[in-house]
Amino acid sequence: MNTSGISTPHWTFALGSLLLVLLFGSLACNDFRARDVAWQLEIETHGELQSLALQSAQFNQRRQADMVATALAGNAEVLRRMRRIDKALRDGEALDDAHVGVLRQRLRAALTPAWKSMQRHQALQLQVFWGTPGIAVLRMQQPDAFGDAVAAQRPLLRRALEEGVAQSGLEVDPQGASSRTIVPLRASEEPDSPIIGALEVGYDALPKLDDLGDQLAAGLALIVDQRALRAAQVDPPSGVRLSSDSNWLLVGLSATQILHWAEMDMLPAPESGMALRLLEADGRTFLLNQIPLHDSRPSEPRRPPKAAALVWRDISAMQHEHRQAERRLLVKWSLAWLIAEALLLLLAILLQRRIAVHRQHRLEQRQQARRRQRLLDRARKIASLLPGMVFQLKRFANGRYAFLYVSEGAHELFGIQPALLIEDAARALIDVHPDDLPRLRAALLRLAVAPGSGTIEFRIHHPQRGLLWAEGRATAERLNDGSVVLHGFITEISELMEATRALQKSESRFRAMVGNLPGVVYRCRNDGQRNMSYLSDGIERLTGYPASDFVGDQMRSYASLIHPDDRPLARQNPEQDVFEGIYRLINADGQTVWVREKARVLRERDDPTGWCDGFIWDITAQALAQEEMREREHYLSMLIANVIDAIVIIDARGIIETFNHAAERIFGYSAQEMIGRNLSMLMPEPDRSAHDGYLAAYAQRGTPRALEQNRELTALRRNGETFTIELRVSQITHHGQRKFIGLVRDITERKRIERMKSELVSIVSHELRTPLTSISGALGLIVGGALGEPPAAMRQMLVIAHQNSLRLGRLIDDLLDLDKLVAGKMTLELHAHSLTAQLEQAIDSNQGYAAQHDVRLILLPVADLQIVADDDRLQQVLANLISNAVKFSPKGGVVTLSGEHRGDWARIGVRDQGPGIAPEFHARMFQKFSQADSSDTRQKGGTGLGLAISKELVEHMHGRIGFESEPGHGACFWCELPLAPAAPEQP
Amino acid sequence: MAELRRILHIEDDPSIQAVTKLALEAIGGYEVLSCSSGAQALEEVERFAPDFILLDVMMPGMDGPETLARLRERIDLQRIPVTFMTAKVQPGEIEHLRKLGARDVIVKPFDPMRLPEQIRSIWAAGR
Repeated sequence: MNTSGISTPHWTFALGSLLLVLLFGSLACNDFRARDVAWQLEIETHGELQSLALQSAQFNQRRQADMVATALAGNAEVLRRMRRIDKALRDGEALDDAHVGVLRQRLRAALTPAWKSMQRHQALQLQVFWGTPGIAVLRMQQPDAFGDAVAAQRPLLRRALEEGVAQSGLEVDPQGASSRTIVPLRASEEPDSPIIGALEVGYDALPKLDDLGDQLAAGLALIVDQRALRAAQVDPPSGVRLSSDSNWLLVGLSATQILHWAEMDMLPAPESGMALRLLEADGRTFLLNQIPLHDSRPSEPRRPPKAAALVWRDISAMQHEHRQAERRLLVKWSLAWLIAEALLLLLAILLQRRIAVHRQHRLEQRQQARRRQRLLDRARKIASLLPGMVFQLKRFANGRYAFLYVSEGAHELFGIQPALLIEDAARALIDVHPDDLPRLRAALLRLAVAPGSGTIEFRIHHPQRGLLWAEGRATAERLNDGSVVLHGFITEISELMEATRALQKSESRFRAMVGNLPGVVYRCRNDGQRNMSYLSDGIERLTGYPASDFVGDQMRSYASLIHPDDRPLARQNPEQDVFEGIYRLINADGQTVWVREKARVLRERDDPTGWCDGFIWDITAQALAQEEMREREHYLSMLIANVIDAIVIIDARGIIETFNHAAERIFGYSAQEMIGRNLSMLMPEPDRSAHDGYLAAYAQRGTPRALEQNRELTALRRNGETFTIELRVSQITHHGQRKFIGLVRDITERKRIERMKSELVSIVSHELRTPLTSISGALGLIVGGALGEPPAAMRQMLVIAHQNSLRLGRLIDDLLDLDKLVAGKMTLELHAHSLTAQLEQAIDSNQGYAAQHDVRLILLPVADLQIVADDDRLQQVLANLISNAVKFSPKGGVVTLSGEHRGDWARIGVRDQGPGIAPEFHARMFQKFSQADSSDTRQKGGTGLGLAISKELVEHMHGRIGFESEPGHGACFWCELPLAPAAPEQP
Repeated sequence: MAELRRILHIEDDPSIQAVTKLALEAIGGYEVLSCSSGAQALEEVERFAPDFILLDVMMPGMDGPETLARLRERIDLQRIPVTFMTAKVQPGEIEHLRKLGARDVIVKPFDPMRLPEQIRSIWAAGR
């Protein structure tokens, strides 16, 4: 098979090759021939031109001879001399007679000028002959030779003498060839007078050979025929023969090469007919041209030439060019042939391949057809056993359908025998559900138009079994004739459809449920890649991308949305069964979304990797709030850290949580050491042991003992030193935990100063009081009359002295009181007291003083209230207020005391009828030494500290003090004290 | 029941000594022995056999509380009440002095005209 497959192109190629060789050979031959003809033509043209040039030269010589001869023959002087000579000769005188000699001399003289001129033009002969025999009378070229008759040897002369007509022609002699013209000389001027002689002029047949050769750019030689010489009765010359056996003699040459050639017998004779030929010599090529020199005029019949010219020219360059041209031709045609061969070869290879492929194809087609047939047979066998219906449906180009094959299943599906369907394909569509028919038709058409595979589900009304669901699958195959064959099968899928519908229903229910969730439900493989198999639609709310983008990572992966910084946080470890994390996502708008994710891994025995099911929800709002809280906490912690006072925060058990820089400085511990330790380690015994119990008790009772109050405590430094602190404790609730913030101030220094001051005060008070005691005691005794009644004038002064000593004592008391109050050293004993009783007591105590100032004290009806107060101190306050009111009351005035219920307070008022208080003093009323008019201090006998002390005392009793006044309308000072809690405290 | 007649007054300041002595003798009609120091008082107390002792707190050398402690060794303080006189009334001081065993505290400056009555009421309170 292979051999035959290859042999065809082989011999085709050989034949084609041969034809190409022949074609290109003949074309090349033609070209060569044309080239050769051109070459020959060129050479011939060359020869022709040379011969024309030579003929022209020869013609010139001859014409010159004619002209000169005719001119001289017509010269009267020449004619007269000649006629004299003729007469003399006729008279019998001999030529060598003296007389005749003279006559000859005269003739010669007459001709001499012409001869000289002729000689300059290379004239060879000028001679005069006499009588019919042609006796030479005068030879100008050879003056001593005369008297010989030459007419017999010289036909030309003979003819001229006989015919009386001028003759011209070529004559040869041993020196060469010459053009001669012989003109007859007559006896008189009459045209038919007897001929007395003739005048002959001869020039070289050709001008000077060297010059001519130069003109023609060629070598030039003259050859003459030996026979012609002999005929002219000239002795055979001894010149160089043209060739060893030739009659031709070389008589003149312009270049000596010719002699060498002659010796080598390379030159052919002119009669050989090879007028023009190429000569190879010395490695060069010469064009050798033999041009015969004819003596006849053109009108005369041709005779063999007596002389000829040889012209040779070096045409090596031309020939070289010619050869080159020939070589180029050869190359050109060879190339053309080779290209043609190559093309042919290519063609042959392509052809061969094509044939091989074609054959292979045909073979495969045959095998395929056989296989298909076998398969078909088998398929039919199988198809008849299949539960569904297997079919082959052909759609003809005109749109008609016909079943090629229908398996037995047709009966089960359509209730129709296969044979009936094959008869009429349209029966298959009769029982199809009308709603599905258009779809089915469309699907068929689609397959027919664009062959491929298709699936369609449709319903069939089975005559016995009712409505069935069927699924048809078909693959279309387009045949060459334009028809399409559908191979397919139809199976019943009623059960499947039922199941699918149920599944869809449950899935849609699931989706609806999941859709209502605030977050995203997902499922992915537990490989840590988060390649989502399922994502609920909530993902679109969360990220802005639809769920379909993520499933199978089609458009983007869920992992790609995770904030790059949070990727470690969001990494699922496939080893762990539960994942929970908070991290950020970047949504479609590029915004950050905080999410929380909880996932659980589901593993099964045959699936160790398992599935990861999880829930992701948006906690951005929470996260932002937390962030804000963190910032606030940071702010607070900065604040706490940098406050001058030490801040220690403990939890309900006393464990330190915060220990700021100031605390570190004060206590000598670093925060690191203290956080997590019990606060009690900062306390000396016994506080240390008591503290835990105190906290526990507080947790149970919840009564704030030490809260929101400044307390002085002793604390323990790291170095064991104890020191005094001022502590203020606040309770807060942080993250649902009860905590205490302790604000600690190291008051060691303050205490030291206070101690010094206190000592000073005590010393001062002692040192002042001791002499004062003596003074006022002594004066008191005198004024009291213990030493007898002093004289009245003295007594007045002693009273003044006594009163002032008492005032000084009060001033010292007030100062010490105020100092104690301000320093917080005054301890008040707060108990419940009856308001009425207190006011009555105040009236009693101050009645005497009021009476001294002629002022009445009146108690208005008092509400029945219980107040919380230190009774001594309350009396001190009331005494202050009442004494002030009395002091500023006019004589006979009234000071009224009132007690009433106001909100949670009991309000005590002391109203006077004095001048009132100018508004500009209102602000300073409770300051030390601030009586409205400083002169009042002395005038009214006050210390200037009363209101300041009263204010301190009232406030120490958790009360308030104030006044209302309009200048000119008296003043009302009041103080409000807290009411006692009901019943139990009542006495 | 004994009657208050003899008062031992221990006071370093002679002026107060004089004023007190005058007030108690002239107005109260008591017999008063004034001692200028605790040491002197200790020497005199048994011999003088006072019914009431008035004791200054701040004294050079032996101060009031120390004198009280020494007196306690020699006499029955229940029978012969000791009352301090002090000008230094610091918080809690009165209470402190009471704890030391004093019957009461009289604050300086005192009213000399009312002093005998004051002492009598203190003395009476102890009976």
